[in-house]
Amino acid sequence: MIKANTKIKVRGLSFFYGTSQVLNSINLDIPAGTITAVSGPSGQGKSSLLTAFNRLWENIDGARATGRIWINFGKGLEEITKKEYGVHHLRRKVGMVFQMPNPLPMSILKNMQFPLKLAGISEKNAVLEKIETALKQAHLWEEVKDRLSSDARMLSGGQLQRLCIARSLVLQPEVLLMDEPTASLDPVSVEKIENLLLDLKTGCTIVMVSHYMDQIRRVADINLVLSDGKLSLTTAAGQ
Amino acid sequence: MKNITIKNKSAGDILLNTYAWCCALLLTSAIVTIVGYLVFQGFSTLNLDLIFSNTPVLEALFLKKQVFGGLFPAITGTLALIFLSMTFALPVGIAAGIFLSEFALPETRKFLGLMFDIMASLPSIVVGLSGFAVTIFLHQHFFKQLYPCLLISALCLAFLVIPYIIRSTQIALESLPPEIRLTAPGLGATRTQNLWYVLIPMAAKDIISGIILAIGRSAEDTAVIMLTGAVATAGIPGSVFSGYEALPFFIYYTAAEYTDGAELMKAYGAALILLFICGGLYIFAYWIKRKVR
Repeated sequence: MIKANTKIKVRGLSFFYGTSQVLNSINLDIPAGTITAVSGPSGQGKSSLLTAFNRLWENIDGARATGRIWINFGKGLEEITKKEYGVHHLRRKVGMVFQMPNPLPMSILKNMQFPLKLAGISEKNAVLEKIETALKQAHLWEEVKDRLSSDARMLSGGQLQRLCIARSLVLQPEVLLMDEPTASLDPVSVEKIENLLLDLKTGCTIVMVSHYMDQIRRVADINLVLSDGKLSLTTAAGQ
Repeated sequence: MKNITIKNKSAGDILLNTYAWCCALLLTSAIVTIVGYLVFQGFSTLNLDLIFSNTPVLEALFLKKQVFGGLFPAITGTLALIFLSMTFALPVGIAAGIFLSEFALPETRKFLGLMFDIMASLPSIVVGLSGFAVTIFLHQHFFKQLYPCLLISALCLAFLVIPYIIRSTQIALESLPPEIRLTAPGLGATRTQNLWYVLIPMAAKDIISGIILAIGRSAEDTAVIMLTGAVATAGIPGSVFSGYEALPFFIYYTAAEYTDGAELMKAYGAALILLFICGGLYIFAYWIKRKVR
């Protein structure tokens, strides 16, 4: 039975790279407003699971997914795995942050404007307001507000990752996928991002891949353990 | 605590190191010798007379008077050839490189990649001969007024350099890290938006490197143009359907048929000017490359 606050529902999800199967008929319900951690040994399909939620696997050579996924964007559960479901629209509602910060080769401001431009939002005041809000949400506004026109690549690793989070937040996504977002960062930056995640979960459902049990205990509500392509364990984090 | 010591280099290391240094030194010396010899021989001939002969400079530049006996028509012909051949080669080469990297299915990519590699390995004299044969065919069956000319040479040169542009574009795009390729799609970008806003700007530096090579190739090639339109005395080409003069061809026939030392010195002067043109284009392209972030 589906719980009333289910944000993401997965049934029979299998994932392949060429002929090699990495996920095997996964069934899963993720409640809204939670942080769900996905952990497990390397190569078990954790990142692949994330790419199924925004269908980013369709952009990866040789990747293939079967099964069905529904996401509730406020109008009840919608099946996002249907071919006719608009993938670009989906990816604006389901943001993604990668392991390595991936700024675009442009200024901080243009990095932030980019998703809005793609979404066809160009009214100057609305754009600036959304950018400021997202940078504040990512706890980056104070550090960059005086140098928005500087090259984004000049920021430190931690700042870059927060910029990438802010860039995803600028479209006000309802789901945020994070693939080991703190893996390449120093402890101070890790702490800042963990605090940021806890702040964000009130308005956003977060699914993150993490290898660090301490981190999972600190921030996650649910811990999914993937092993041999199957969900081997689902626990409340901290247990 | 163990002390860490740096081991002495083995004899093999020293040998390899010395061999690598010698090779690098040999190549550098060869380049310096060639350019130095060219400068030594050609520098004394570099003057306005070499370029404009006895024609007043301004009248020659504004095409009010033809230049006879100077290199001005050959310089103009070479620049026109580079411009025209690049006009044909760049859009086709870059588009084909993008297609191979971003849109082609693996089998198509493999097949077309092989075709373009074969195309790149064609000797320029073969390309020139094919261009000449096509011109004769067109002349006999379709366009009676068509003869070997600037347009045919430019098309043949474009054919010669297109594989370099294709491969450099393809490799530049394919070597972008996977995270960068997925960034814009992850934000809702379409394939075209991803290419236009992210992938091409990020690969631009390497694409430009390929273009620099192609420009150099089309400026220096002699075999193609000697069969498809370059002539010894044609003056400034009136249109793309005219014969034309070009520096590489001038150097070739002067070196082959000179009658006195002064004439040969003119060939050295022409070679030096060709070197300056290629160097100038290289610096211009390098400047663009630096500007592209």
